[in-house]
Amino acid sequence: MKINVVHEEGHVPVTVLQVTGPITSNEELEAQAQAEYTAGARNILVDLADVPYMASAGLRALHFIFNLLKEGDSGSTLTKGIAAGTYHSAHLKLLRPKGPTLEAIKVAGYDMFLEIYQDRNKAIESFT
Amino acid sequence: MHDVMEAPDAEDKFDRLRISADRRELSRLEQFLEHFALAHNVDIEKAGGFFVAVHEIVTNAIVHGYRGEPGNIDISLWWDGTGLVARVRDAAPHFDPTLVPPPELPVSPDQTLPGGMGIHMVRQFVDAMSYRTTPDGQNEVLLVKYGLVHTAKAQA
Repeated sequence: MKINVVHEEGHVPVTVLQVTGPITSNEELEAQAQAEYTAGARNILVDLADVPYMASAGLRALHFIFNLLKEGDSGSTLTKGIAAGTYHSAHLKLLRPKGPTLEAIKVAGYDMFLEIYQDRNKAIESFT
Repeated sequence: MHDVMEAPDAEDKFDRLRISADRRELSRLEQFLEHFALAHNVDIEKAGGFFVAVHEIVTNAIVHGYRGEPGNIDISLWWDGTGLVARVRDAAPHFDPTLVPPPELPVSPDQTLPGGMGIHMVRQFVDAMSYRTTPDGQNEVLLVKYGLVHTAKAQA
């Protein structure tokens, strides 16, 4: 797995983590996200277009990044919002997951709280 | 459930890999699966779910089976005529992944990722999963996926 980092300016600064290759471990993606967060990143778009498949370790990494970026979203309000389909993370979004990668995201129900975009520019502009 | 099958006798009809019970070895498994897909002309995106399943079983053996103790994991892949078969063997304490209950879904991001997610993904991505202990006392998990188009290695 390789991770390329691109810093974009939309309505707010957005850090794009472009992942290439299967995601079969969580450590590398978590470490990269943590480094970007420490450097000031507060909005992250994970580009999964070149990820042919993702194991549960990838879900673990997305989970880690979500918790890293969330601000004040917790407890029953968040849980109810997810169940009602009214809550989506404002700070972590996904770009172009496909095939087994998309299936893994849906199997875990991550698509219920992480927005998925097909267009890179629209994804970047969606952060406010 | 697909009948438990034996690996082909001929060495050239299946691919195999032995790794140590170390998470750092998972990159070798990743390369092995990628090479298998290339050698057999399998669309890696179509086989990706099956490869995830193999990764999950192997990761389980490393993390929950050997738990830091030294040991080996043997992975074999072959075509049985109707589908792609993976066999994962390890000598860790006996553990039957088919008995793992499904996790509570959907996952709440406010909590830690629940246990059993990996095995849940295995169930989603394969058509059959079976477990037995071999006569010499190893764990053996068989995974089967039907319908993958390929050019069999023996026919190439």
